[in-house]
Amino acid sequence: MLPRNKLTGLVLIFCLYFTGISAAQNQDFAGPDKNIILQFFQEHLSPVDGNRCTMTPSCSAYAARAIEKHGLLMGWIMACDRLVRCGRDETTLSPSRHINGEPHTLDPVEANDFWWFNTSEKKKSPVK
Amino acid sequence: MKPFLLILAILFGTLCCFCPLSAKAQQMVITPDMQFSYADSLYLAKDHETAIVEFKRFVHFFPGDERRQEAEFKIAMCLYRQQHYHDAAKAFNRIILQQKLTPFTRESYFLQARAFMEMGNTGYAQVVLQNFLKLTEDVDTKDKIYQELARMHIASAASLDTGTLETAQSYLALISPGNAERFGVHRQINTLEKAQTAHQKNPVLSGIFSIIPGGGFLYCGRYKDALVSFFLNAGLMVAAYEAFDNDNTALGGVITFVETGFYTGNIHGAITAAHKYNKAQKITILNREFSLGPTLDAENNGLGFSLNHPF
Repeated sequence: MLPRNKLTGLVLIFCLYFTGISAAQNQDFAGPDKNIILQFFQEHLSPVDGNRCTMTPSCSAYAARAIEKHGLLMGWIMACDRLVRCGRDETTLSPSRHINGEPHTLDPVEANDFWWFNTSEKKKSPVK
Repeated sequence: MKPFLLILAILFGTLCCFCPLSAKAQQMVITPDMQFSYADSLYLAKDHETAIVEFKRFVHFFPGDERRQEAEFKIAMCLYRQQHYHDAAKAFNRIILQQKLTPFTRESYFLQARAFMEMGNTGYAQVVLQNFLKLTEDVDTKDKIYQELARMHIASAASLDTGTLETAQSYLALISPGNAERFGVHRQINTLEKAQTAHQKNPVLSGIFSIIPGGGFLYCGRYKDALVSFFLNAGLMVAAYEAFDNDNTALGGVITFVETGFYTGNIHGAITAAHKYNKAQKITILNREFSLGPTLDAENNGLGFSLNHPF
């Protein structure tokens, strides 16, 4: 049996996983954060942790967008997938974009759900 | 006294005669030509904001002028160049609704379709051109429509719509032999064929390989992702096992929950990686003939693709 403090620590680690371990920044996520855990991470933990995420949108912003778009289950799965890919092979395969002079790999939710979620079907004729 | 009165009368008369004239001479009379050429000069100087105002002024004050449609077309063009695609599409629509088939109406169909494409509404862009295809009998115009429809399908090939390139090819095949050489149809068809037979990764296979964490990534040539996925999943699995083995079911449950996310994420990521690989292969080949550049869809915060080809 693990001591109580170790158990608390592991639960905290779980929370960090949930919100996205990689450092996050709010710059690419324009919409309001509805997820209170992600909001807490972005407002209080990320500024301390520093801006280290090399992807855009940042992992927490990506997770928020994925949850907002596909619900908690698929959003959670996509966020986990993103955490694995963050800063590795994706940086050489996806286009990059300069933010504050720093190169960031462009990897929005739409670049990862295009094969099963078609947004174009929902578009209507805008001219009348 | 009389000569003085006479001089005064002459002076008064002169003043009466010339003052209104001089005031009239100072009044600026703007003719339709002056207004149109001023607006046109702004249009040529790419001062679109001011050009729109001046063309609107022309339309308002000279509604009967024969250049009215040209002015309206140039207003729409200014909006298009300013990337106000929604307003541009509406402006082109007003010209199209005038029924009279002029060169400006013809161009309006094409540009309205392009405005829809820029807005990401490929389906409606195609509808506009299909409608135009029904209205026109001119072979050159029809060929241009086929070419434009093919261009649209090639551009949307980036979104992995199945059969898109085949449809593009079928439109190119409809172009008359007279214009085929001018448009470089055979060269384009060859490129499309190469793109369709490009080496591809099977997404299903990639998903199956992901049963062993990282296997799918490895199949798609993403070695770093594969390594991280394997060790992370293995570590979490061992941790969950140890937690349950030590009767720490709460911790085991939490780790299992986290691990489930990473494991399914690994499968999702591997399938996505295969699709991304296929898309990249297709775009690389298409880029040799066309200019497919990745762009950012600001509205949806997603990736889009623009296609340019010198016709």
